[in-house]
Amino acid sequence: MTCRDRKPEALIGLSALAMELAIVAALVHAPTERVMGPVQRIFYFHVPAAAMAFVAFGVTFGASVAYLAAGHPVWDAVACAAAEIGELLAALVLLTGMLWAHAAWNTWWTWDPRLTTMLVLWLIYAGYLLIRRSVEDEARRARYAAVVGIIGFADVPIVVMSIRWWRTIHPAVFDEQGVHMESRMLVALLVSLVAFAFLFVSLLVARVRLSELRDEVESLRRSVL
Amino acid sequence: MSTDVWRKAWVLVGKDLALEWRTRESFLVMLLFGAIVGAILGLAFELRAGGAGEVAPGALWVALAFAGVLGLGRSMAREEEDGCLEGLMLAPVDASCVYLAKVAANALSMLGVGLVLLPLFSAFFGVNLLRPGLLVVLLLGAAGLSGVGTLLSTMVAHMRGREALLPVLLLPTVVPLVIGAVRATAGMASGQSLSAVATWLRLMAVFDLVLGAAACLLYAWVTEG
Repeated sequence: MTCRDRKPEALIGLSALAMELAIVAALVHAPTERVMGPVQRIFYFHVPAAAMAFVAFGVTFGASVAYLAAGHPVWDAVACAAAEIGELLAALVLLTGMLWAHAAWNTWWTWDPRLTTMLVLWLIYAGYLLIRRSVEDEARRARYAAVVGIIGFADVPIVVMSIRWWRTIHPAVFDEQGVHMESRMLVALLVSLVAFAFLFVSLLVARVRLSELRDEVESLRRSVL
Repeated sequence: MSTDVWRKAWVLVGKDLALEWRTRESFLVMLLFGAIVGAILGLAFELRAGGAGEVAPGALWVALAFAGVLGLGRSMAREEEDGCLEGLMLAPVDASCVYLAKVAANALSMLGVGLVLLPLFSAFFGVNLLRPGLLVVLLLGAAGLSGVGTLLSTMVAHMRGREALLPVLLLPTVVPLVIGAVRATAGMASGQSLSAVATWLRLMAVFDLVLGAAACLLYAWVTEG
């Protein structure tokens, strides 16, 4: 089971194209929001990044379960790749969220339920990546990482639930912006969502391929020495 | 069969408690550390905010979580010495049985620390934490911290830098548990009944059950050679 011959270039090209479209849709096609002005356009990148971050952590969970069940190293590579991409996307979500919050709420950080949830998830998966760096033995690393990947994802709904309750019991200082969206805004959001999905898949494939090539180099080195 | 599991688990809990009773090394360190955290937080908030009472529930759970991390690390380090854990795994008991026993032993020592910290924090922060309902909160909190912590501390027991890895993995994961515990404690400190804080107790119970079940299932994978 190798991705060696399936080169990810075509996928990467497709995601680049989709990303161009998303940029045009977000910056040109979508109208300027009446109250917040141009800064609202960050929304078209912020929301898809958040959605794909959740997908990525879900993929890490699924691949971790598959690794423990089947023991094939490709599942470990998939889990690792998805966690790395998820971390990256979650960091993007936090940064774009902070930029937007500074413009809209006049503060860089607020303990808003969604910001807080994303921060906690980012910290949980930072731990996942740290575990991967702390174990030398490959089989053991894969097993431990899978355990953390499963525990981390089992925690996700509870984290979301707890933070939501924690905030709604107290009066919310900031209201969320309205969900009534103009159709052109919705189009921009959907295009961007598709672009981020392509980006996620192509990064995933490229990263898994990198892992496999690395393993191959390692086994070649062993056979020579 | 199932009564057999409980009997075996009970023997293992007895072993841990007897060991702790004879040396008292980890209980005293946990207690002292919890008191130090309380003193530092008390000083810090007293100086800045003028009234430390409002932060008492948060301070209590920060102290308990940190003391718990310390206790979990020491309890697993003890199992690592002279191959105790290998011995346990060779004994004719399931990994889940060893897990349950370790969880119970760790939770009992956290509960003990919590019971001593309640009057101490009441004095430090000028609030009344001596309420019977808080026993339920302590029990749920100790079970959750120990349920996830036992899995993670067993995992990191033979890693480089385990002292740093355990808190980095455990603390973000227990965020929902700590939120629930702090809210329930705050409610009770202000004289509310158990049913008034039932939402938070349910949240803690859900955390304990979901993550405890996941950790119990996964324990075999972290103890495998």
